[in-house]
Amino acid sequence: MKKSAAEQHRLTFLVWLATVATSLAFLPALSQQRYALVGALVAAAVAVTGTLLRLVRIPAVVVLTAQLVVIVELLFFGYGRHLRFGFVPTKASFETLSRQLEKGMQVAQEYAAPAPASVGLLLMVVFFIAAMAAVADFLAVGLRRVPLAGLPLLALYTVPVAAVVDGVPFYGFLPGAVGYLVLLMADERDRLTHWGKQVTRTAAPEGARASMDTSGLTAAGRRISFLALSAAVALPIVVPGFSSTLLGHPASKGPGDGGVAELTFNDPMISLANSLRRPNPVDLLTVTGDTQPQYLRLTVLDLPGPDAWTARPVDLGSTVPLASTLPLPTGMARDVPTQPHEMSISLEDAFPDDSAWLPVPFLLRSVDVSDSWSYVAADQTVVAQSTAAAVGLPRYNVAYSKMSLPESRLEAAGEPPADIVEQYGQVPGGIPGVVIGTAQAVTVEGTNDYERAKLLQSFFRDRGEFNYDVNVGYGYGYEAMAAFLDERRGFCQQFAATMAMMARIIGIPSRVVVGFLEPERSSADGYVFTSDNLHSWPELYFEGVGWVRFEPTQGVGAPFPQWAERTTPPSPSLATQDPLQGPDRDPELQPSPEPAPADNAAGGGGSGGGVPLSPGWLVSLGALAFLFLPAALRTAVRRGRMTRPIDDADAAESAWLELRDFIRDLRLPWSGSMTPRARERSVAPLLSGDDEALGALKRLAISVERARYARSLPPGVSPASDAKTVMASLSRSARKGERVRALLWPASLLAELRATWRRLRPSPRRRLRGELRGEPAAP
Amino acid sequence: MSSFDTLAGVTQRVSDNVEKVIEGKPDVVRTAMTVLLAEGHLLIEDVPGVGKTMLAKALARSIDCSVKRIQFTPDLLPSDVTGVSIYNRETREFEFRPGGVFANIVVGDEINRASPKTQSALLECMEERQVTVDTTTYELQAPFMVIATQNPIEMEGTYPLPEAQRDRFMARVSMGYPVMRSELAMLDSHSAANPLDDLEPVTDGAEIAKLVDIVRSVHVSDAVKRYAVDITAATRHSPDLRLGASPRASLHIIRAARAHAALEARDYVIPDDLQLLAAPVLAHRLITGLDAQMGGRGAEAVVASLLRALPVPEPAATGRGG
Repeated sequence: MKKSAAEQHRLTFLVWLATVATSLAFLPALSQQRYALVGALVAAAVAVTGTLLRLVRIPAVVVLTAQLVVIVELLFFGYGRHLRFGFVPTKASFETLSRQLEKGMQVAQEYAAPAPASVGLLLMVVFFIAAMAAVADFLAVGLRRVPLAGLPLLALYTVPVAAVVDGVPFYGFLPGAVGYLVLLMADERDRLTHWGKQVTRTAAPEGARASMDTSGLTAAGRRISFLALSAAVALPIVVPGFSSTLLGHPASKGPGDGGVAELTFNDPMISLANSLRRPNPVDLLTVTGDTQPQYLRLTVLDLPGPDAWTARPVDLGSTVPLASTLPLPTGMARDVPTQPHEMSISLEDAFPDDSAWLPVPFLLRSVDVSDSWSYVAADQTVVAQSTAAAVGLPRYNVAYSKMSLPESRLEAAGEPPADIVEQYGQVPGGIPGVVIGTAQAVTVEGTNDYERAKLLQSFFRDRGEFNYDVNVGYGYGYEAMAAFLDERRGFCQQFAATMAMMARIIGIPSRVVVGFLEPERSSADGYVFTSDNLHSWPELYFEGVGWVRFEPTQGVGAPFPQWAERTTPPSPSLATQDPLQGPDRDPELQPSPEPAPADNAAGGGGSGGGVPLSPGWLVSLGALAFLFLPAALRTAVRRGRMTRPIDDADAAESAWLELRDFIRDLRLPWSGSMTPRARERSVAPLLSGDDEALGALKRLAISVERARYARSLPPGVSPASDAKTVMASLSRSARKGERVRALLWPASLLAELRATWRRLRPSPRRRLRGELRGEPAAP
Repeated sequence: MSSFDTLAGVTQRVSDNVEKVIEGKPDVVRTAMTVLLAEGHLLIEDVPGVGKTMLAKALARSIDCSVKRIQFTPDLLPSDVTGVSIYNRETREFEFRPGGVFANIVVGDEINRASPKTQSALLECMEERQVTVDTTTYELQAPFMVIATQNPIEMEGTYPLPEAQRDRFMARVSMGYPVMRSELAMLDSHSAANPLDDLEPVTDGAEIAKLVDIVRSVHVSDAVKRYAVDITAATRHSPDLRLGASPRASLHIIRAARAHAALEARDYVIPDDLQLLAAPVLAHRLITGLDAQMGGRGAEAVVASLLRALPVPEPAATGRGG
């Protein structure tokens, strides 16, 4: 159908409008709202280019190319600079632009939505909007396939949906959807006006230009659009969504560990395990600060036991009031260089009210909480003086320090003092030999405590021998350690407890700390620590430096010396980290922020984690699943048929049905009701003289015939292999495109659906005929 | 499967024999054989001079059995067909003198030239294979087959067969004009002498009776039976037909299909058999409605369109994606 010039112009305009409307979905993703204006302008340039070129009847592909050139030229013009003659890009302009784009990429990776202002990011977004405008224009106006223009619009919408953590709100979806529907409606109206017959409500006056009265259609279109949009916006509210950890979460274990279970910190390690097994992580803390928060500590377990590590009972009388200046951690020399930092922590509703510990960073300097909390100097933790101290606790500010010290200080660490060894260096009896043996074997090459500690950590996380698994069947007592070393499977509990014990075995005082891992998610309010971030790790004592955090858990967090101030900016990946996955959940994909000295192997090859699932991934997976759904269903049908024949007759019938569907999938004729022989005659010409296939077809037809009408099947028939021979021959003579279409969009499924529908709902005519004949109505 | 080989051999011999006389009509000969093996009666209908009688006689001669020919004329009486009891003066008793039907094969020539009264004399013997005269019932010998010929009813001096009579014929075949080659060959073979005179029997009644037994053993599945009933039922509901097929027609089509399957050395009947035989077995029993007549569609055409609309029997869906 040829569109008139006026219709083309209108369509071009509507495509532009729909693109600009869809691009509004980026609003929540960018802090720089200027992109919308710039994007609309560049898209307008695309539309104008298209209109002008189409006026002189230039092929659609050339128009698209020209539009893309215009986009690039405009970007150069606006941001690349250094243009020769004012429009020819030079090497310098390319470099400028690519630098800008690089910066944009960096920003996009580094920051969670809304991303801060950046020219590069703006460029990227504008380019994307304009490019999608050009593609939509090409499809809708150039190829006159208006419905297909929805694809680039969808692509445009998908990017912000993938970028914004909580998804784009409904008002980000509406404009694009309205724009697309308007576009569709306009196209349909144009199409109708091309129908031959003029239908008007009132007789057109003599000589008046004949035109279709499409007002009724338009009204219907509006109503349908309104309904569709209302449904699209309203339905998600009532339809239960996917759990954000749909695929990534390990199966829950045991009763009561579902998402509804209350979180408590009564036994920190048990709470930790339960939290990590929650199907839906809950927010526990929101933290803002002058730098990205790192590990937060809750409590310290320093007494190994046959079943678990436990905390030494805190003598509340010996604690330090928080109002006073807090002492340095035990063993830390005053000359360790530190930088002061501040953060503000707010406990979320899900944070247990009965928590005896307050989450605070290491090297705490001050906390502005009430007297109901006090500081345990030995552990550097904040404990509650009374029960339910956390109830209604307002946001509290914390001052703390970050150390930065050379490794040489650790290497030069002296012998730990006797009281430390007494308290943190005891190796209880009953430790399985394998733990002791492993500890010694692993560290045999170390020349000092620090190196040996690094070897231990490396043993757990760098060799790729251990797998992360939150659902292991053992705890972290003595025997559990042996089991853990045997199965090489566990989560932070086992990693932390075992490394701490092995450190003691080789003479390094140690303890296990329970707290929070670095947050991977941020919101407008700050960094969010969820129940997924609960973690435990060992701290090892080095004289002169004090307690040093190690990270043996396979793939989780950064290895030592993470607590030290970094010399490079924080890893961008942390800001845009996949929000659905606690690092505890997918250790492999958590990159080490920097190549640390001990990090000699690249992350390890363990495979305990899940698949990363961001909204973008989900959308892509969904689209893929949708794409392959018919193929999957068809395969299921085929499998069901070919693999479980009840008897020979069933095998023949199944093979026959499979052949029927195969032929239908290839869009070859198989219609009407025919006897097997008649069908054989009608299918034979499709085999184009392939004698083997013709023979197989004949055998198959006779098998089916005998299955249906004879007393028995002769022995030795193999209908399935005959059907395969015929299908292979048909497949060979089909074109590749036909084969792909048969695979992805099997027509037999549709026919089957129609047949099912007909079976369920007899047509009124058939019902009437049945009644006339006096037959009972079909059920 | 040796019994089917025997059957095929005999059929082939008979066909070859008949085709010595009737050139170029293998289908008609085959249908005739089918009817013979299915214990039915055959009606050969066509315009004069295409070899109807020749076919009937050739078929009869090929089988070494008693053959009688009744020439149906307007003055033929029922007793000429069935037989009559006459008074024997010497014995002073009534004696039964069998009529023309007392034979294995009865060739009823120009059957529609006799009055319906006389035609009706055939009713009992055709269906029940017996003759009742003067309260005495006489069994007919097996095999028993009536091969009747008739001219189309629009021809002068003919009486249409009564519906009951038509229904008793298993199948009706039309000879049709021979193709040119066959007609030329016929000029050569028939000009010198009557080729029928040279025709020797190739089988006998006893062998035919055995073959009939083989045919009876052919399996008819329920699906095919249902299909047969569907077909006859469809003729009863068709708006194009004033009179549909009787239940006897269902019986006949199944019997004919059995014979046809046996002729193809198959021990089971398939819907294709029914489709092939539907027109010859059903068409002569049907009376087309005014619409079909006005549209120039004969009963064969109506049957063909009914067959196209009827789905062939397939096994019920097993619920396994089928």
